Amino acid sequence: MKRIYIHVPFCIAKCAYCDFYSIEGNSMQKEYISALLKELEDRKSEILWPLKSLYFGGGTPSFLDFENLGLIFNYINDNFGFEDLAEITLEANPENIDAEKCSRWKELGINRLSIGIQSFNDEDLEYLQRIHSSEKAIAALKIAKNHFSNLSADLIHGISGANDERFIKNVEILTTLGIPHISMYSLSIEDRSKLRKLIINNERSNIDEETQARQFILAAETAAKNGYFQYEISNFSKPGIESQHNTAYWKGEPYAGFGPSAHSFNGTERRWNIADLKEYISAVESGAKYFETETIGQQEKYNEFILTRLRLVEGFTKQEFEQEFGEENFRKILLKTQNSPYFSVSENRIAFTREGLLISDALMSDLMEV
Amino acid sequence: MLENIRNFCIIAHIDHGKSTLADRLLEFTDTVSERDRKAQVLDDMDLEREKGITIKSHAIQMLYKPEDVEYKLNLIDTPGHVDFSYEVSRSIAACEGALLVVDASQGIQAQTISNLYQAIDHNLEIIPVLNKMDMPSAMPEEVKEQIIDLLGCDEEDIIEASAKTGYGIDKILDAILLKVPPPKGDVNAPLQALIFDSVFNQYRGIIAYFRIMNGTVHTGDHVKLMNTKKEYEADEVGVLGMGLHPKKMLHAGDVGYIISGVKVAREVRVGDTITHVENPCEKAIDGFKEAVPMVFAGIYPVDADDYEDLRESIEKLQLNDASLVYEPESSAALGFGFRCGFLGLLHMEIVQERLDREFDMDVITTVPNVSYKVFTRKEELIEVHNPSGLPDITKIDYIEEPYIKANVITKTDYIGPIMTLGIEKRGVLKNQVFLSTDRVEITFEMPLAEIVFDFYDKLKSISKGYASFDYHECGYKRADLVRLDILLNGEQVDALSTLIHRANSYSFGRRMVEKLKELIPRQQYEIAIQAAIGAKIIARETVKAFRKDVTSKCYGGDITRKRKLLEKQKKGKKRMRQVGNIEVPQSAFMAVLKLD
Repeated sequence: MKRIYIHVPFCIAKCAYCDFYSIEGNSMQKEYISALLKELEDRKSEILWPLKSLYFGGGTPSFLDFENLGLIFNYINDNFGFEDLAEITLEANPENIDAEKCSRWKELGINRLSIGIQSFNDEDLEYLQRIHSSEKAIAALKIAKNHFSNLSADLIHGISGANDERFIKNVEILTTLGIPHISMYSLSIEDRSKLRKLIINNERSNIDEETQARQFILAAETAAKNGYFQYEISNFSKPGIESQHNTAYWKGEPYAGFGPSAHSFNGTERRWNIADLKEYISAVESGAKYFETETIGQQEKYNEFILTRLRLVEGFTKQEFEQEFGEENFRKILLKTQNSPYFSVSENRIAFTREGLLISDALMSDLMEV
Repeated sequence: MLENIRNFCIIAHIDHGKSTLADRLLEFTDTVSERDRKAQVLDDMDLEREKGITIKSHAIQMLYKPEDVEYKLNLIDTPGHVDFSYEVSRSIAACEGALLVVDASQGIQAQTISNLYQAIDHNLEIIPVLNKMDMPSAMPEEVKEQIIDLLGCDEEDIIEASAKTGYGIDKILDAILLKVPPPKGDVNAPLQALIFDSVFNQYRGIIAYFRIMNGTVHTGDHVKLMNTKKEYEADEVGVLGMGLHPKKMLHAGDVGYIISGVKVAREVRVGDTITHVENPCEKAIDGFKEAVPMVFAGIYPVDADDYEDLRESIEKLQLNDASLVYEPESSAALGFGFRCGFLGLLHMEIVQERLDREFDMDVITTVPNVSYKVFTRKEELIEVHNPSGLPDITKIDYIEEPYIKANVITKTDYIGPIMTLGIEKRGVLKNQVFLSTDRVEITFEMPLAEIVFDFYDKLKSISKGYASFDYHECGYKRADLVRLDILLNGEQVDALSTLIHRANSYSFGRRMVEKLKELIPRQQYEIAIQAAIGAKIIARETVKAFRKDVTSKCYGGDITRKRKLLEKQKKGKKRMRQVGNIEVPQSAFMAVLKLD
């Protein structure tokens, strides 16, 4: 595996909509780093070096102290090293970004920041329980822009109360600031999120499907108008600046994930670490098991191919498909997709149309084998 | 020795402690050893244990020697549900005495009374037992009063007991010896034995349980069944203890079993008479009836490819359930399946569950309906078991539907709402009798079709669970019925058609489409749900197409969770039925049962 994901489970405060694993505060950094380095050492043989990409996700990786980040880099540099054009991403939140940090991150080797903006509207930010203001977001982006050419910003659309103009304005601010990569997500109400409880208790208004559908389309249209192309359901970039690491997920490449709740895939088996920091630390330190695995059989492989490849706007080619599943299965999938308004099917390629992307979960599920 | 035999049954309402009492009697007489003890020994089927009701009759012999003389006590356990009242009547006919078990905290219930009347009709000696005396909520004085009113017995005749703790069990046994008369019968007369139940054994075929009224039977005898006229060798006869105990010979008064190589339950009918081929008895024992199915429903495999497996499963199930009848049918919506006839709703539920548990069959059951008599203008009579099988409206002269006499026993507090319910269900009040100051028995005459839907649940809910209910068929009556069809995007769904009284048809149609709107998930297309009588649309609802169904974030490489979610959705869809381009969940086919 030539790609590494590291999960940093600390946040200053948990956002309402988030269901990724994290805890509030970063007082357990020392124990976390020690366990993480032990996991890296224990699983050293899984890694093929030099690395093609490294991705710090979270949680809030920018909330990690610089020294601790340094310890991780020391280990990786000493043991694996990086290819020349390796992509090294750090997810960062506006409140953690200043010029000094940016230059020190850059010194460590980080060459891409993915910044959690979500909106430039303070009402939206309040709805989402983000802790930064729109002013801070703009300031942070300007600083980051001075240090990194490869920058991504996250936006959320379909927020209750946010009209289309407000959302378009968000995209335009990013364009003006010259941010070359944007991830745009529909707000979803996750089972384990605070937002779900807030909505149930009537402390937040619910999202509206019509608005969500409209803004999903609007996101793609506005991005296209401003010179971004959509390469994945939620991702838009200027040419040549697509996220390599995330694209590897969609293309079925292997990757190794470290830290609590991190996922790994070695081509035949998926594994996920326990989503609890204390249990993760104690299990790693004592040598107990702290992960679960699932073997990917032919049927799972097929379903994952549908699920991941079709997220890419380019879809998949006949050759790619047949190499894995044979000609007969290609004929079958062709029959299911070729006369549908939701698929763009040419002799050599199957992909979603924009209408298809909008209801892609239902369509993917229809194509799966169970 | 006939004098040393006692044949008795237990009459009790569900949950009044019949099975526990039976277990206690078995322990007290050392019939069951400590290590055999499972809760409720007599209920063989898992289903019976779970539902806490007896579905099949059972019989067991206890040997009891309080002093010098050893007695044979034959306990015949009876099914405790209205669907099986015929089986109950045959079990009662095999006994001389009955324990009337009443829950001291609940009082007498409708089912108990109807079974009690049967026992009194058969001249059984009734021993009243007040069970669950250990419960803090017991109200012995009040319930005793009910029993005295009902039986005209003395207060001291009522035995206070707790099957749970074992209190009073000795008194019950003494009363059985003292009060229940020994069986009469002529050992030297030609054989005459009453079959009161049969069970299917995978290895041995049908085992029929009988009570000998006259004569004797030996292993190896050449016997015949008087109603079916079939002849068999008695490969084995014996008595029922904890298991089968073969005997060379049984005589008048005995309760036992016979195995004769019969493989199919339908050949051995409950109520039939066993006699010898040579020297047969003059006439069969009175009271034999064919089981008549009252309720019909379509049973279809969830996966159309499983049709043959379903046929095989139903065939096997019928081996030990003679009351189940079936014939193949096909539906445009559901494909190939079977129209099955059941004794009642519980019987239907049991068949469904047994198909699931014993045969691992995934089935869709359609809305149940009753059997209608359709008289055509050409003066033909057609029996219709399926609303979609109704002849063209122009050919129908009139339709008759089955009626029942429904007895409801309730606390007087609930008379009002129960009356309202009865009238809503097209019932006519026939009688109202106060059983005690605060308990009343209400009798309605009403169409059976009305209880097939949701009568029982409603009755329970409006009476906070107090009211109990029992019914008997009482013939057919003419009715103004119409067929209500359901259309999805203009296409009629045959499996959703119902026959309904004209006066109720509009509100029924409205509620149907509203319920279906809840049950049919949103899909890629808009779905129009319409209710129609003939060509006339009487109600409509729309299920909007979903606008957006996409997971935005699929990050951190967690592919598994998303894949499993979509796979689960696909499995759900696979279980749905395709009507045109619409996916209809199984629950929709039972929608009519869930109307508010």
